Amino acid sequence: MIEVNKVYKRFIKNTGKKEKEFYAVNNVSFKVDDGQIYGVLGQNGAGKTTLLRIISGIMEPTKGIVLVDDLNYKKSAEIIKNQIAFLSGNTKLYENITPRELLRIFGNIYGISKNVLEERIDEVIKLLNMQEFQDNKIGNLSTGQVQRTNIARCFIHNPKYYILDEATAGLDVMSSQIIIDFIKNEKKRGKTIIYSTHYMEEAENICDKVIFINHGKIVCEDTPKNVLKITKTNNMRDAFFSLIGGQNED
Amino acid sequence: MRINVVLSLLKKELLNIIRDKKSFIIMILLPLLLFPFMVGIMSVVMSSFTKVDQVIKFGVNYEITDDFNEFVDGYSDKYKIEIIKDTTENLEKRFENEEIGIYVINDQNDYILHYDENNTTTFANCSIVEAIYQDYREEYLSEKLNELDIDYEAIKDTFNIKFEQESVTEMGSLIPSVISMVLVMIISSVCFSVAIDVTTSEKEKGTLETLLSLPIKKSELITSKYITVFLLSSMAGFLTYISLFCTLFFASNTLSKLGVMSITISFKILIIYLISILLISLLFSGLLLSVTIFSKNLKEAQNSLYPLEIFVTIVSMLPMFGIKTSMKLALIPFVNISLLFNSTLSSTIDLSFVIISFLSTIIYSILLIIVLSKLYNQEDILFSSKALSYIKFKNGKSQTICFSVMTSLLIALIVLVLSYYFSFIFINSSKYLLFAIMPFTILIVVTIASLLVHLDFKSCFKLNGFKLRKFHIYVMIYVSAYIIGNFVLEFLVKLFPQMLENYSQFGAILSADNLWLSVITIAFLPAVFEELLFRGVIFTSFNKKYGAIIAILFSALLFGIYHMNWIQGAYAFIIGTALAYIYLKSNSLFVPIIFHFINNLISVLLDYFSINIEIPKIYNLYFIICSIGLLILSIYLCEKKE
Repeated sequence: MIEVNKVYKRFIKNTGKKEKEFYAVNNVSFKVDDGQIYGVLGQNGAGKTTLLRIISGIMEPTKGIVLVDDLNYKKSAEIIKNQIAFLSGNTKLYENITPRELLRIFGNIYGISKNVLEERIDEVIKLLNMQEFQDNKIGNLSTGQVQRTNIARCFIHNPKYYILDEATAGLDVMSSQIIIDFIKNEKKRGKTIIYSTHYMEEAENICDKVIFINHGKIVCEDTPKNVLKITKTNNMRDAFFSLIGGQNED
Repeated sequence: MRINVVLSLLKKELLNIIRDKKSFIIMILLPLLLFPFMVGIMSVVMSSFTKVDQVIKFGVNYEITDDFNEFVDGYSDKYKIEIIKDTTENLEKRFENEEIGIYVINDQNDYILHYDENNTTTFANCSIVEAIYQDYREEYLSEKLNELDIDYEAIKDTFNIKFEQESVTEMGSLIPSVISMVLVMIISSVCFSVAIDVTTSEKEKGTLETLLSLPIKKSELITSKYITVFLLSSMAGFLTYISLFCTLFFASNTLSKLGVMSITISFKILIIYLISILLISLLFSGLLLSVTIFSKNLKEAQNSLYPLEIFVTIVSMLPMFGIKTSMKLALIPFVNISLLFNSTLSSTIDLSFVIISFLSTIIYSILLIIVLSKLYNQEDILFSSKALSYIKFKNGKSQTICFSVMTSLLIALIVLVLSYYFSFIFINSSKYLLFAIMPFTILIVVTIASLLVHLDFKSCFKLNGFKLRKFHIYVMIYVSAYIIGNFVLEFLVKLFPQMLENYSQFGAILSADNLWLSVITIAFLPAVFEELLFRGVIFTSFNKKYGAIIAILFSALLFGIYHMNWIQGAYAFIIGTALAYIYLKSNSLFVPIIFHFINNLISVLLDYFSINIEIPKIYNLYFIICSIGLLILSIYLCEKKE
């Protein structure tokens, strides 16, 4: 279970000469139960990325705490990170390394023993259909192949939690389908997924629960069906506008 | 820190860099091929103006003996030689009209070769003329010795050494300098490209985010990066080294034509050389990483590294200007290693210089590693990339009220090292410049450090107004400290008279000839900025952690050390404690600045009007007891009013 407890993240925005203080994440609390897909929705600059970075331990919150299975990042960051995979839409990989080498290096860092690791790599490569390009340099792969490699490296240590930050942004239909299939499959295997996107339909289809974020604050947190009920709309897009629309000037 | 994690990260960095074609060229081909290429080019250039049928014409101002004529005829199969006999004045005129390129002036036992160093042809011809004279000298010596029934061949080696050295300093000293310069430049440029690769491009491409999501400690991450830069740059250094000696070995014929005498390589030199390569890579890696870490993208990284690269190039050229090794130079980073390279190649090694250079370089590297790990823990430095955040952020950590103890110590250390460095560089320039440099060093270091930790200037440095009501007490404290300080000074001089010499040397530098300039550079600027550092930074941070007494003593101690002179230091310690106490009580930095200024002003004025106070008469015991009494009274008044 992931528990986000009164988390704040303060930044100082440089607007010309003046420095303006603002909260990218402002008093956010929620719980993610195991085995659920959790959607984080909001427009650009709403604080989704910052929030997900804090949850996955890449950034430290200014105030508040994130608990993963009752452990916190201050004391046991390495143990938590071993249970988490983070994938962001603009993640690129090292160009001169082959997928197989990358998996081996990441597996080593995750502390998987050598014999188990080789088996695991073969398994993952087979699962994601990476046999043809497993020994090519990543720099020479197509976008879809890179995305599969990226999923493979999230996969390698068999984590309990996946945190995906706009993982489908900017991908074509085929490539983003790879990711959506991956999310659905992992859910079947009982994994927990926190997932941010600005494709509303996508969220509506696969999420068990969604939260809407605006100006760093949670505007609404419920199941997709309930959200539609509350806002009296037919689809997520309209729900989004009725919750957030009109409030934003930026 | 887990070794296997660091190794995995290291493997990733190395694979990613070595497989890149451009890096491969810079790191392996360039070091291997540069020296053979250089020698090849040089030999082609040289051979173009040392043709066999060229007429070598030179003038002499003395009667040529038949022996010499005969000797010169021996060269006729190689060169056409034409000797012109004339008076010295005429020779000089002809030389200026470019009728002759070389002329030889005989002065008792010396034969002085004059040539135009900017004209490559005469330069090459001159080396031939020199060789002829050298050969003739040898033959002449052997004949003379034979007349005395001494076998020249038997004793040749005994003064051969001197003979060789003369030719090295005349002709060959340029080559080792060029070699050492090329070496330093290759190591620095490899460091340059690898450091950008492991820090800036990782930020730019967004792979850093992935790395941070792995179960890795930041210390492990930075260690692997440091080791990568260090390994690759030292490897490039070794390759250069190997290629250099292969070139020297295989192209010795070409090189001797260029005036490079055979370079003897002993085991000791080999070892020193290898360690130097390791150390210079160590230092460079730290320096370049801590610069590139700030850059958001490649262009920015290159912009910030170019000045550094130019600086290093200039420093590595220093041995060319014939700078001799000294203990002071051994403490200056880059200069010491560059001199060391040079001295190993021209085979004059001072072992203590080697040891001090090595130790100081290691210390600087450790300092850099500490700075680096501090920097790498700051989110705003890590995430300062557009790929990672679309809004231009600065991390909004609350403003720090004062520096931590470690940071303030680091600042003090950096200031000490820098001011030592600058004092050495500017030792021969105007003393006013020398005195003005130190305060500005403090200003720059403190400003950079404050910006890095988002310091709240006003509250840290206590730039508050102060109450005039208490001012008379501060005056009392200062006056008594001044008297006690001067007494201690006098006492120390009596106790250790040999120290007086050092001190009076210092006094000679101080002596003022321009009153206003001295008041500004010796009294005003140091007063402001030394207070900023010792009271504003050090005292405040220590006061917060360890309490007032330790803070007063420690800031005064550092203040004493800063003066780099035992006698001055002891005096500074006493004045420093008083100033720190005044700062503590007045709660405003302006008050100690005023007293510091007055203190410096007194010595400037005394010196300018050359007033010599007859110290022994004034400083009798009674006077001291009075001033201690005054001190106690004023402290009592201070504490009572609280």
